[in-house]
Amino acid sequence: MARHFIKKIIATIIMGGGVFLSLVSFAARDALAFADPVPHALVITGIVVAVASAAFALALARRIYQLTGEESFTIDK
Amino acid sequence: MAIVSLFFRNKGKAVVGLIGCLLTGGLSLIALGEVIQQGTVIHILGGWEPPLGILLRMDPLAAVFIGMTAVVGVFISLYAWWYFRAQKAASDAFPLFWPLWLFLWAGLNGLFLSNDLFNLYVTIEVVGISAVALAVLSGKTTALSAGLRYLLAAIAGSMAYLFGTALLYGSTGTLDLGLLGQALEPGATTTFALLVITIGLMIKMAGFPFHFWLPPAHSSAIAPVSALLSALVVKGAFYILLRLWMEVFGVSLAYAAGQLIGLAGAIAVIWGSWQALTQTSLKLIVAHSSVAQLGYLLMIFPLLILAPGVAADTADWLSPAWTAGIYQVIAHAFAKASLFLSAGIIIMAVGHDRIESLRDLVGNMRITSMAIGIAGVSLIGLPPSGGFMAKWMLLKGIFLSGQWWWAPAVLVGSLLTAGYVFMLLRLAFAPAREMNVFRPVPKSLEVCALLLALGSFLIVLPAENLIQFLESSEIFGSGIESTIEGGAYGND
Repeated sequence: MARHFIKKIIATIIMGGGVFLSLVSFAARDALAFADPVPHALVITGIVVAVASAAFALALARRIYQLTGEESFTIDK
Repeated sequence: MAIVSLFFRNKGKAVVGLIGCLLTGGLSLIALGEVIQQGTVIHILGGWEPPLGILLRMDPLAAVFIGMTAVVGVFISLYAWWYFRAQKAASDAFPLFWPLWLFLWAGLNGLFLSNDLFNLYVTIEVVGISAVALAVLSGKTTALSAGLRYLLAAIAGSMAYLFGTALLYGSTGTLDLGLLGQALEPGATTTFALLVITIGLMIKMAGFPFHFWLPPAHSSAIAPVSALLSALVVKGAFYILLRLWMEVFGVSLAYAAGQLIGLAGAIAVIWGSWQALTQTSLKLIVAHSSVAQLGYLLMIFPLLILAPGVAADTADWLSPAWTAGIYQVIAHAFAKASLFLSAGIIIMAVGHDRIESLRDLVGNMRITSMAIGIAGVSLIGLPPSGGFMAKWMLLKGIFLSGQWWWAPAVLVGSLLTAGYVFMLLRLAFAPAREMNVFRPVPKSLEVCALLLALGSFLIVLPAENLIQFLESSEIFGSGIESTIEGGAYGND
């Protein structure tokens, strides 16, 4: 498994994208003429949370790089 | 209160923060009192009933969790107040602790009150991000690295949980827990959603095999934060897991699923305790012990999922199993918080937490060693502590249900826990080899730790009332009758 910080962060962002896409796809309901708004609300909330978490993770990664010059998790016992 | 405290300068933050903590604690206990008198309290937000609106529900189970968070939280807040004041450099006072801790507390209370899949997602995110921010508060590289690992695990867990929520919404059109419980039908979608949600929540509560983030994160945080993380945050994820399994997924759980979770719990108990034995740093010992004690919580699931052909009414092991779960949650919260606070006191006194520093602790810091001793006894599960109640009830449930294969795990876990607790106590009583300078530590800190340790014992006293109170909630003492032969739906 990758140990590099950025690879892992990108992986979680992609995972998030997948989940949101699948959630939005549930907005298409056949009986209605318009799309179901609830998944839209859920996805917006989810995107906000995911963006904030990703930003936090990137800030942490950047700070670790500044302090130690490391770009990946070291193997610890 | 959290946002208000952000507007103040550093010193003001702490004062406002402490007032906020005491207020929150007081209000939580008042709410607990109300539920004791009235029964379940339901608050419909905005007057819109589900499925359009969301409602907040405080039933006795939620009330117990909120009350526990309140009591432990108030003690940790008081400890933090004095801990930061005792720090020499102003930069060590961590004024941002207070807004973050208040956010965390708000998130936790919201989590316990939520009755709705998405509300649970939002609150657990609030809890998770506040927890990570608190964990990296010290700014040291070990804390930052551990915090990043924690954050990535938390994000992965949330994504898994959200995916399960999406699937459930797509298949039933509702998110409310009560309506979902009625609307769900067994099928591949439901099973997959259950699987994904369970994996997500187990990542968040550091259940084996997703426990890797916990020891570094909890041990490299500052002392009050470690106590918060181990005692309260991980319990939030467990609470959601319990509610979802018992209330929502009743129709589609296979017997094998419960066994699998129990297996993960048993491995966690043995693995965590074993790892704790081999550590040389006090905080790492306590952190690994957290992994183990959380494993006990997972071990109640196989008891709650009944084997095919057993009816819930005849299963008299359900009540002990639930009692075991609740007592383990409460006793572990008190004991673990006390241990981490004591570790903080020791670090303050000696400067490091290598266990050799514990030598002759009894001579120098009596109150702290007493706190460690009492909390340790509760962790092992010796009578008459709350931990004993939990493990005894667990064993009772195991034997009554005939699933005797869990018993060795419980017993080995207790044995290993005794191993590392006695190791600590032996060092505390040992004579000092070299001159270890014990700097004086404010008595108030030690008293906080001791009171929390005593708390893990005192919760046994109202045991009957507590069980009676909890039984008035529908979920307590319920079991899932699995109508599907184990293995047919292959949750493995």
